[in-house]
Amino acid sequence: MPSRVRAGGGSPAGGVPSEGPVAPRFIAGLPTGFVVDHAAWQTLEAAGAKIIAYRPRLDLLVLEIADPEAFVPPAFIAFLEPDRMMSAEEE
Amino acid sequence: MNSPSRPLEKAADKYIVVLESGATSADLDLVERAIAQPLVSSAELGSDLQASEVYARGQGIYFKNLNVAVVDDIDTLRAARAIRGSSPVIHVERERLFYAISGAAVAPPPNRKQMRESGVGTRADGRLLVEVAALRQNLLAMQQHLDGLDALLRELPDEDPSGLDRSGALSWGLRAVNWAQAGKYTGKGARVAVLDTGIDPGHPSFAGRPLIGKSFVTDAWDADRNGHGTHCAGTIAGGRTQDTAATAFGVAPGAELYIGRVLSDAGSGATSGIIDAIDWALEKQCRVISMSLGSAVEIGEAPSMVFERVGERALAQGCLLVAAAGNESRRPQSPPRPVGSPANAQSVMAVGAVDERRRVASFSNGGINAGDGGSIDIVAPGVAVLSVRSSLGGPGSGLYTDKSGTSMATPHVAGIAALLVEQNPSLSGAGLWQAVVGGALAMPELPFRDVGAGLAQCPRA
Repeated sequence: MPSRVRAGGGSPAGGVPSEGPVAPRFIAGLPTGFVVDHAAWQTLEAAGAKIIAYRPRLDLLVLEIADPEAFVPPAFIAFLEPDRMMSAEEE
Repeated sequence: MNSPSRPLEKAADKYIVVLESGATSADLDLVERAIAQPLVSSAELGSDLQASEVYARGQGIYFKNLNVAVVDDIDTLRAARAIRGSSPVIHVERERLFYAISGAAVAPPPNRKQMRESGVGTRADGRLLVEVAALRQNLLAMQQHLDGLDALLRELPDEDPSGLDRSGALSWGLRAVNWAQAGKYTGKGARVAVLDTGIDPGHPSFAGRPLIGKSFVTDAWDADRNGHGTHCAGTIAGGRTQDTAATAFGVAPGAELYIGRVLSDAGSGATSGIIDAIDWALEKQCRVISMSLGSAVEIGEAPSMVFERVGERALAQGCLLVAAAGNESRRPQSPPRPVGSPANAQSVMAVGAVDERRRVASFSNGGINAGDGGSIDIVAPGVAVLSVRSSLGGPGSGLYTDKSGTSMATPHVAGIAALLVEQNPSLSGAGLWQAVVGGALAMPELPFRDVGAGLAQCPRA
């Protein structure tokens, strides 16, 4: 687990181009069964991450991180990956 | 509008007799006497009795649902008399010929001159009012009839639900996966999620079928202007082409499609949307999730932990994730490129592509990063694959088109998984994985790195 997030790896919000600066998105893995309660939510926000989606079935969070260079993931984040773009695999 | 040069409608030799609604058999006896022709119910028409035969023997046809009879060449004086008195006949008019205008069939109304010539001079003239009332009544009856037929059409399956009709022309893809041996299995009861560019729900292969969808991008799930998703959905659960060849191309026509739109009209989308769509598909209890999408990775690059997690959770819930291996390779000029993400996750089944001669497709990625999980698990037809063409956009013309890519191989495997789910609904996720790869036809003449377990095969009924 890197202490800081590599900058520039995330997609713009929703993967859709938009006007103005957009915070990159990341997907964060949680420990199995971890519940993102109010305290965890506040911890993430204090670290500079905004929760976009919480998927407890998959133990995943979608985060928007305005300053990825400065973001230090809280201990309950098991892994963090940039929200990369995917394409149709047609020749 | 009508062309001015087109001749006015030529009078045909049949008459439309409009009856009061709810005409009884006694009323019909009266009508038969008034027009001096026996009537045959339209319910008796069919392959054994054509309408032309009825008219040829001097009988008319009574359409009960429309309260209308069509009779051939009756005496016009008798027809006029039939409207009077206690007869249930409310209107008689000569049949008109109809012309197609921009796809719709309409008859032009008479102009003022024609009306004057036919003796209609004022609004108070009852004939025109009766005609308008009769037409309105017919319109209502026809709308009810149309609604009934629409409802029936929606309930009918696209394909013979028994799945027994495996004769006739087959796409090369279906021949390669030995579709004929699947017998009664059609994927009935298996929910398959297609995460792609959406679908064209109006295509004959899908019209009337219960489609469930949700969009995770800004474009609507049922407005596939790219065509990729519609093609993939057709390979999973389409039927036969509607031309004279009637070529079958869908692996599991009885499967229930769940359309998760994760790629835009441009054919791209973010991982976060795909994650949301997988979560949705699991909530909907889909047993198979087909992902003809990916992102290229470098040699030595580890698989995504996100998709490793997602694949494991899906398998634990009895759901198999199937993904395209990617098209970055340029064989034989260059060594194959590694299997892309998300197919390179160990818990996601990676599908490579072969052509009709069972050669590895030139573009199909290989298990270059196999040490990190990025191996090819199975291959399927992926070159010049026949399936559905979206009418809403994308290249080509007509209802069907060929496409190539590991995108086209992936839905073949998804369809086979749906057949296996129908064959054994209690299969676990891991059991379903094993059934798919265990049923593959080994291809020992080709590198394991490129074909994995071999060519995917349908289960034997």
